Parts: sequence; structure tokens; C-alpha cells
Amino acid sequence: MYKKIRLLFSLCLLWSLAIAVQAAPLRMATTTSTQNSGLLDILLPAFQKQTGVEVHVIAVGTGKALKMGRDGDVDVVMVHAVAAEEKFVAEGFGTDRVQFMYNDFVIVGPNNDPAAIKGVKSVTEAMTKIQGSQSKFISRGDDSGTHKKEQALWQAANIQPDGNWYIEAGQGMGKVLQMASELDGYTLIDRGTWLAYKGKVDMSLLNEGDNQLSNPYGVIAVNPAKHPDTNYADAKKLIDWVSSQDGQELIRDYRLHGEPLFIPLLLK
Amino acid sequence: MESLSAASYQALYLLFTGDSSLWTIIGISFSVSVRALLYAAPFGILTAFVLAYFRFPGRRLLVSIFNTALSIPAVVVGLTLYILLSKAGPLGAWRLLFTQDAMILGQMCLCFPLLVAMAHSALQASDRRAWETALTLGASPLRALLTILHETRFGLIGALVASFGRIIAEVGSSMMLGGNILNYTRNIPTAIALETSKGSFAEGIALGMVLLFMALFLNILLGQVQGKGEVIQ
Amino acid sequence: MTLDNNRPWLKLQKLTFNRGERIILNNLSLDFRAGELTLLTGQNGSGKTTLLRILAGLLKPRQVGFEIAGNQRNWRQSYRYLREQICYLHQHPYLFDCSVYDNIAYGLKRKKLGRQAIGAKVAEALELISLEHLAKRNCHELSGGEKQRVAIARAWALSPRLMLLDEPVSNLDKRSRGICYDLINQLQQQQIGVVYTSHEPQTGKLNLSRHIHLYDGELSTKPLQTTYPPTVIDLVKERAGK
Repeated sequence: MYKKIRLLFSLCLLWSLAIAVQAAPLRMATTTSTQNSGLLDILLPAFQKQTGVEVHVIAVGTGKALKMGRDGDVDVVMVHAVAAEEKFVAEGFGTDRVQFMYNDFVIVGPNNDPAAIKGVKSVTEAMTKIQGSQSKFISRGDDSGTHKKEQALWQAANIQPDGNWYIEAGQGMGKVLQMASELDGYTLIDRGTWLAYKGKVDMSLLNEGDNQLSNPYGVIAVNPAKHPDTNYADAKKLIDWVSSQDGQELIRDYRLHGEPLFIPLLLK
Repeated sequence: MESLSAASYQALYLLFTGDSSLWTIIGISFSVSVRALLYAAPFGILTAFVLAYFRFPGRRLLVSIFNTALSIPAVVVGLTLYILLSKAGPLGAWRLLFTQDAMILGQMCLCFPLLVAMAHSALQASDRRAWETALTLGASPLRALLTILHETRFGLIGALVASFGRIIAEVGSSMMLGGNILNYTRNIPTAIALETSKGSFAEGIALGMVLLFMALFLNILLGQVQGKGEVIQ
Repeated sequence: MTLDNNRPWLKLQKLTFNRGERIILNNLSLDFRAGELTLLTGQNGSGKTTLLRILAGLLKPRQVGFEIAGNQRNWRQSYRYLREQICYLHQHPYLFDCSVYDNIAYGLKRKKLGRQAIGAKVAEALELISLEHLAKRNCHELSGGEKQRVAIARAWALSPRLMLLDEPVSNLDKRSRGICYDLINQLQQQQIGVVYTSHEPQTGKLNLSRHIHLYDGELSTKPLQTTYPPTVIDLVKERAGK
């Protein structure tokens, strides 16, 4: 009798373990702008169809996404902040980092363009003109990838942004765009969010195309050496898949409001 | 993983070394919420008084409306005001959006129902004879009202403290209406939201501790005031 | 202003008060003279308190007229005057949550008197009720009888023409009742009119001018010529006998 119970108990344990292993979804932290772009809604179902791995997306700011990776709360991180990504890997929290695609940032602003940045080739020149005309500029101010990019651009333009014209909002991209619209200010925005929101705000795309505005995306597995309980195997599967021909073609063919958004980096 | 205790320790360090950006945020929080409460209190208490002391058609309905309004989420208040104050909205010409005034407006709307409901129950429980006594001793209705407020001061202070507690810790409407602008409309709750989104938990906890200390302080104060009220009943 | 005792300073005319369908007071008329002491009796719910509150200008009846110093006035024109000249004291008087001194000073402050004038008047009022030693005491610490006396002093300090005492003695012990009756007599001597209500016409100590009995919303008055009471007049029975 006792043996039987023990057998039954072990079986149950095994069974539940099997369930746990099988059902454990891959937890991915990414940025809100990535999720807002809609790309994941195409990419992840295709990934699941091919590999059977379900991905749970947690969309937060870049800083928080990396922090979640650092704390082992997620298995894989997909962000767009090169310096922070490199630091994350260098400190041993991340592994298998791949830059697999990029999109770009644009500068949007009031339709009447008081700083006259429309058509200016160099983005640093455009930003100098914004500061020079004391037009309002709404900054994300939240340590996000976009915020870091913006800070790098000010630095490149040799400007210390400060004063009444420079408004540090500390909110997500969509909110900051709405604020820029309400306050007649300029802002730096990723093209995906701009395409998703441009119908809802009274603003125009005024500056684009400078090389400095490119925005590469990285995908990084959380290092199992730091957090052995993470789902490294599936994380690796995802990284391999987005770098594969299938994944890259999907990225290339993705359209938002009829416009291409991302350019794959690993397409053969 | 960063432990809670390490984050708390760092938080205390930030607080007591007088981290200026932290204290700016705390200052904004208090100045905005105190002003909101000061503007809302006279109207709220007057409304509560009218509801408690006068009989008129629709009075019960109004009381129910205020009690229902207690459970309106802050973001809904924020969203409604946002739509009104937006450039495209009917009050867009005021250019209030993303200013401290907009936050104050939002917080006034938030604490108003709570203020009315709590002050109403305090005044409802107050003694009608006080009102008649004041009038028969030659007080004007306004003076009699002030006398009633003095007589019910413990309940009313309770209403004020509870209202302050609601708005100082409120994030939804402040975020929408103020915009979380550094050194201008970034208050404790929106800063906590931001710090959390950045993954800097120590700053978030430091600010959370300020709220906690303040809540503790207010509750002790309230206990003192109401304790005093009980002795002389 | 001195008034001829025989000429009423206030006439209440054709007072009707109803609560919903129910008529509480029906077409009453009453005169008030200076220094008149009136006992108002009637069963529970006969409208005694209602009548007092209307007289004090605290309650607006459906229909009423006043004649003040020979001039006809409606309620709207007279309620402020009534509140000024007449003081209503609840059955359990309400004392404000402050000291005895501040309570008595309350009405005087509303008259915008100076500090010294207020102080002198409060001292006088405290002397009237012999509670000088309790001036600084918070009113919540007083006994029922002391509260009653403070309330009377508070009203007296305003020198009203008429004081309306709602069952002033019903909750007091024998000693306090005696003090209260003495006070009422003193008020009368100072030409302050008093209307007081009671269930029991136990008024041997009082120098009553008249006895009014409310019955079924109407009035039975019996002006008293001799010292009261020769007998207890049961006006209800009298009416029933008619």
C-alpha cells in the first residue's frame, strides 16, 4: 500500500514537472514602443507556430526592461539602446546579444515649424535651430532608449539642454507626443510610434534621414550563469529565429499604415 | 537581485543627505496638494452643509451621486479633464494642460466627493440645536454656519486629512494633467511611476517612504485631534 | 424704549402650520406684553415646541402675520426682528463646545460689543445665575441644572423682550427646579416676557400671567386675574363639556 502511494506521488510529481516544463512560456521584456509598433503581433505568432514556444511580452521602459533581465525576472530582453545593452552584456547579465534590425527616429513638431527645421539635412543642425529659436522641446526624460538617443544627439550638437524651452516629461512616447502636440513643441520619436499616432495629433514630421537617427534593435538572452532558473533554451530559440531567413523576411515585409518600418540587418 | 533592504537603505541615504531633486519633487507634491485642498475645502464643506442642513428636492440623489463619485478612478477624472483642457477641447483656450494648475484642478475634482461625503456625515451627525441656538442668539446664517463648523471641527478635520491622503498619493490624474515635467509637475506619485519604469527602485522607495511617513504623521495627528474630541464629549 | 405694559409689543396673527397633510397649528392668534409670564401646556405632539420655534423666527409656517409696534408684517419681514428680540431655549439647552464665559459672550459678540462691555455683561449674567466660579469651565463638564442656568444667562445677556423656555424644569431635580423658578421670576421682574412649556402645571412658585393650552391645533387661553393656581384648569375638559 505504502509503495503504491509513493509511486503515485512520484508520478504526480513527475507529471506536474513535465507540465511545468512544457507550459513555461518564454518571458520577454521589451519597450513600449516596440510593442506599440505592432511588429511583435506578427513575429511572435509565427515563432510560436514554428517552435511551439509561447512568448509572454512585458512592455516597459528600456531601463526597467534591462532591470528585469538583471533581476532574472524575464528570460529574454528586446530593446534598442546600444550602450546600455553593451553594458548589460559586459556585466555578465546578458548573453547571445544579436542586433537583428533597425528603424529610425524622426523629429516631429508643430505644423508651422517655428524653428524652420524642415528639410535641414543634419539632425544636429536641426536641434541647434530648435534651441536657437527657444522653441519648446519635449524630452522623454525617462532613461528610455529614445531618451538616451536624444541625449546623445544634444551632445553631438554640443548643446546642454536647459531652460524653459526644454521640458522633461518623464512619460512614455505616446504621452510625450500628445504633450508636444498640446504645447506646440518638438520631440524626437521613433518612426513606429509616429506612424501609429500621427492621425491623432496636430503635428508634422519635420526632420528625418540623418544617419545618426538610426535605431538598432538588440535581442539578448538573460545569462543562465547568473540566473539558472531562466528559460535560456527557448530564449536562444527566439534569438536564432529572429535572425533566421524566415524571421528577417517577416521583419522586412512588415507594414504599418502602409509604410515599411523596420529594416532587417541579417537578411542574406 | 537588488534586495528591498538595500533599496531602502539607499533611499534613506538619499532622503537625509538632502538630495535636491528628491526634495524638489516632495515640495511640488505638497504645494500642489495643499493648494488643491485649500481651494476645494470651502466649496466641499459648504456643499456638505447644504446637503446636511437643508431639505430640497434632489437632495438624496445628490448625496448618492457624491457617494458614487468616491469610487471614480483617478485616471477617469484625469482623462475627462484632459479632454476638456486639451487644445481641441472646450477649455483649450485656457492653456492649462501640463501645468500645476491643471494638476490642482484634477486633485480638487478627486478630493471633492470624499470631502463632501465625509463632511456630510460629520455634519449630519451634528446637533441641530446648535444651528437654532446660534440663530436665536442673534448670529447671522453665515456666522451660525461657522459656529456649526467649529462644533464639528473634529469630524471636518478628519475629512480634510482623508482627502489630503487621497490626493497626495494619487498618480493617475497628476500624470495625465501635469505631464510629469521635471521641476514643475513631477510630484511624488508620478516620480515613483517614472523611477519604477526606469528600474531605479531606490529613488522610488525613498519617495514611497516620504508618503508613508506623512501618512503616519497625519494619522497620529488625527488620532490626537479626535482623541481630544472624545474627552469632552 | 419703554412700553406700556398693557399694550402688546407683538401680535401673532392667524398662524397656521402643517406637516404634510396634518395641521399642527390652526389659525392661532396671540398677543405678547412686556414682563408677561405665560404657561403653555398641551399634550405631546400638540405643537408647543413648534409654536415656540415659530415665535423665535426659526421656523417658517404656512401662514402667519405679525403686528410689530402697530405695523403689519409678514414672516419674511419679521423673522430677523423675532430672532433679535426673542430667545428660544431647547428642552436640553445646547451649549457650544467652549467655556461658560465664551458661551455667554456668544450673542454679545454678534452684537459687536467691545471686549470690556462683553466682559462686564458676562460677569453680570454669571452673577444672575450664581455660577461665577465656573466661568472658565468647559460646558461639557457642567451638570444638567448648571447647563440650564448657563443657557438662561446666555439668553438674558442679550436683553431680549421675550424668552421661550421649552420644558425648562422637566429634567431637573427638585433643588435645580427651585433655582430655575427663581430665575424665571427674576426675568419677569426685569420686564422680560417668558413663555414656558410644561406637562405638569406645578407652578406654585411662579407668578403666572396666563395659561395657554393647545388642543387639537387650536388655542384655549384663560387670562388669570388672581394668583395662580386657585385650581388647575383643565381646558380640554372644558372644551369637551361645551
